[in-house]
Amino acid sequence: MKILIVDDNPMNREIAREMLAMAGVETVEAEDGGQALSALDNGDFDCVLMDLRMPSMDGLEATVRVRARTDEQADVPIVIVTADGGGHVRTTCCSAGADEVVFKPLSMDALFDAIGRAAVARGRA
Amino acid sequence: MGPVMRPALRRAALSISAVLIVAAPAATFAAEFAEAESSTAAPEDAFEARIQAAKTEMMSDPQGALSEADGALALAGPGAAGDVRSATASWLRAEALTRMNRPSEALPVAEAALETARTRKPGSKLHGDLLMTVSTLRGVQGHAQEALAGFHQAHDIFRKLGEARSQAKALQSIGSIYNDARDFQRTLKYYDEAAAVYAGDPVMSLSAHNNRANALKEMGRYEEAEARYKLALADARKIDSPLLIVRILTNIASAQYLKGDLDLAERTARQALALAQGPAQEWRPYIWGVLAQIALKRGDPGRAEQYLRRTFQGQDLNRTTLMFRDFHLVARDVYEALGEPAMALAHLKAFVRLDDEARDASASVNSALMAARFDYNNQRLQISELKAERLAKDVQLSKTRQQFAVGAVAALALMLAIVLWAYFSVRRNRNAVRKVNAELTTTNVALERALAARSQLLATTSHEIRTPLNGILGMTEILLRDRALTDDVRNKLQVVKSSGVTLQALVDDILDVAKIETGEIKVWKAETDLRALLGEVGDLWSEVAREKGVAFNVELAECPATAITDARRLRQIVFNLVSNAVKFTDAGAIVVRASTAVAADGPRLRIAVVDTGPGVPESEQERVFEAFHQVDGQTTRKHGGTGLGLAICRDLARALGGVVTLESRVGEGATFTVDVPLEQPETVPAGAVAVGSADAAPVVLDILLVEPNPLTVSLIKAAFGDDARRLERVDSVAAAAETLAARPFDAVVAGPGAGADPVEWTALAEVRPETVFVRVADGEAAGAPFDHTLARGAVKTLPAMLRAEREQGTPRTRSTPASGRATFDSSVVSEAS
Repeated sequence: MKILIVDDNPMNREIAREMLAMAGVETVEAEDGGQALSALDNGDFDCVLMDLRMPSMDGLEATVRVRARTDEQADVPIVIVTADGGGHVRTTCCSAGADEVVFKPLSMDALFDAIGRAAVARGRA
Repeated sequence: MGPVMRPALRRAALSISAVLIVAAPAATFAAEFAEAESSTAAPEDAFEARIQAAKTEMMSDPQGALSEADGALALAGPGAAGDVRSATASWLRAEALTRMNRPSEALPVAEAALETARTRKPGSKLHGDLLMTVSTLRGVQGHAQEALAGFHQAHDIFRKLGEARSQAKALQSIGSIYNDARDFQRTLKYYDEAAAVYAGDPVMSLSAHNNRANALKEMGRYEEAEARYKLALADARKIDSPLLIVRILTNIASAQYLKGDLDLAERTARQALALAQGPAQEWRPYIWGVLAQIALKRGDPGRAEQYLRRTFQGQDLNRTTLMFRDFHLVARDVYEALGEPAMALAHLKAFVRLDDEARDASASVNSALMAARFDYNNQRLQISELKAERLAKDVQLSKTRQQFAVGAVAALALMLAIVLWAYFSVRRNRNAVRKVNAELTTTNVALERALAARSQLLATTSHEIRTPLNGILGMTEILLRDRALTDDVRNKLQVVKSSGVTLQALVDDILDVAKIETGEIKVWKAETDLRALLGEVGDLWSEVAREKGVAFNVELAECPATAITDARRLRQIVFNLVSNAVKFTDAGAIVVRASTAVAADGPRLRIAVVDTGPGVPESEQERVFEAFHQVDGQTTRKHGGTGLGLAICRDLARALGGVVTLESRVGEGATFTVDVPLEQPETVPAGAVAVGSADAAPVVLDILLVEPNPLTVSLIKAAFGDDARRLERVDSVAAAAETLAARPFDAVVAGPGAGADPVEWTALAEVRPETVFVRVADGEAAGAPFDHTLARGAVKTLPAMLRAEREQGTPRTRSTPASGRATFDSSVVSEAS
């Protein structure tokens, strides 16, 4: 399995990378929305973990742009990973096209369950 | 003789709802002219004439008022008196600029004038008025704490001067800040107080009705809001201001739309549109916004788009103000429906920007207010005693004042005489009142300082603390999953994890206090594994308890397996209760016991946390649930904590529909019990479906998943979705054997990582032969006796397949292994169901 981790904070990327490594998942990292889109150009990912607050292009815009693509990656399962709290985060993210939302601090179970549900929702299980 | 009274309006750019208006009368200048302390005696004075003119024109023609004020400024003259006159003129310039929607120019003017007033004429009405102006502008900028402090100061000045109307205005302004923080109880309280202080004229009455209606609308009480708006409308008609009438009609239309009565809402909106001519036409964009909402709700995005184009005409989407927030969301939906993703995205971004700003503002206002309550508790008694004294005298003053104000409107000469008389009458009471007021002021200033200091701390909490917490908890979890750890290292890591989780809980609790106070807590119910939840909380604390020498047990014998509830909130409650128990118990045992009970209103879930700590005296048992209360200061210093935990527990339990109760005696420990309604998912007992019955209930399956890779587990779990009633997971075939011996399952699913040693699997199959054995494999799997082999992507077909098999009573045959082992045939195995 190959997962794209998008977060401007290297520590957060490391946490996600290490957690996924325990499940034998190959990971690629991006620092902002722009890099994420480029990565999707060059690779075939099974899931994208997307942070919300990033410089230059934030998670919300990146999600909308991914869904607007015309290639197969337009359909990639997207899990938003954010430290922002509150019910409105879920609605905003899902309305932008994300599949699931998990909150930091991350727990491995919550992260994996979200990835699982997102993958199934997009028919990629 | 007296200038015509016209209403004035203040835009509340900080309001949450797009069509929310706070029509607080920032100045009814005619009346103020009557009550104001005159800076010069002779009305022929050129300066004074300009000032009067500016005041008169302020409501109807702010542009004109601005030039009058500019002219007055030029005539201010030298010296100290000149400085004060300049300040007065500058105040009017700032008010005019504000009404012309140029707040960034208005603010420096007002601030400079405030400085003059503060130094030259502290405690004067001019000082108070300038505080009001500056605070309003600061509020518009988003500096809620400073605005609040300023309004309080202005309020105190007006109260000392006996300026009841201005005092009421200040109270209304404070109320609007609480409105922005979505603390509607306090909002209404301050508006009520304002009405109690001064109920003089239609403008105040209109403002009071309108603001109450706004708060009611935010609380979802649309019928009541509509009724209140209509009262405000009656006042607006009395005052005969087209712009005010149009604004309130728009509010009414919005409330009707929210109520769901689209026809009525559209009629009202069109009524407003018809009246929105001349000075009132600046409100048309917002009316079109409401019409767009209605059109979209009716399923006509094309028409909605036409309205929205007018709403947003000339607006830079990156710079729209808060009034447009909800309209951006409508626009997003409209453009999405019309297939214009670029526009939809632009509006979504604008919505998010404004929503974030509003929430940040709300959060920072909340933290400011919460900070005030931190210190406020300690000073509450002192203040209330002082207040009682002061209030008695104030009522006296205020009554006298009111009578005079009514007379003052009638005739100028009579006004002057009455004002003089009032002045001398006030002086008699003044000395007694002064002392009490002085003490109150000191307290209030201290409050304001604490406000400012604490609010900074709390405002940055959420995002900033959660990020390093992600590092702590994330890495600790990763480390704990290393099987090679020694028990010693594992235990130590568990302590680190407990501390991290406690910190997270503390952060959540602090922010939840604000949310609970403003009614923002949302409960999200889903099927929850109660045993796992309680087990997790237990795991977190058992090590810490053990280190203290306290036994720790979680008793789940009577605990239902699943319930429909908000897992996060329930965990928070139990976590807080256990945290308290561990904190206060130094010896003995702590037990977490889950059970069910049947009460008059249905089944209940009860989780009791029993400890052998010092207990809580009966006199304190109600008060322990109060926010920030601790049984005694000593314990806090020894044990730490904010005193928030139990208050949160009770509020959260209430949100879940239940209560938290306490049973305790001093020296005999304490038992805290969470008691919530028990909702259980609808279950079908295993094997209950009769073969071939026409009304068969959908089969839900019990699955045993054998797979070490946690992500694969999640994927398979998600693929089963609702079809799996119970899904247990083990790491290896050996562990599966134990589990399968203990409990029956419909199917055992072997993931790709489970290994496929035919010997092991054959042995497992013998444990419970009627179970279906499925292998999920990425490639060819030779050997073991599986009933089915599926590729990963086909796991979703499994539930249907299993259901079909059960219904048809397909005999169990297993594929012939390539190695030539014996095949199983169901006729050989006795069915032991």
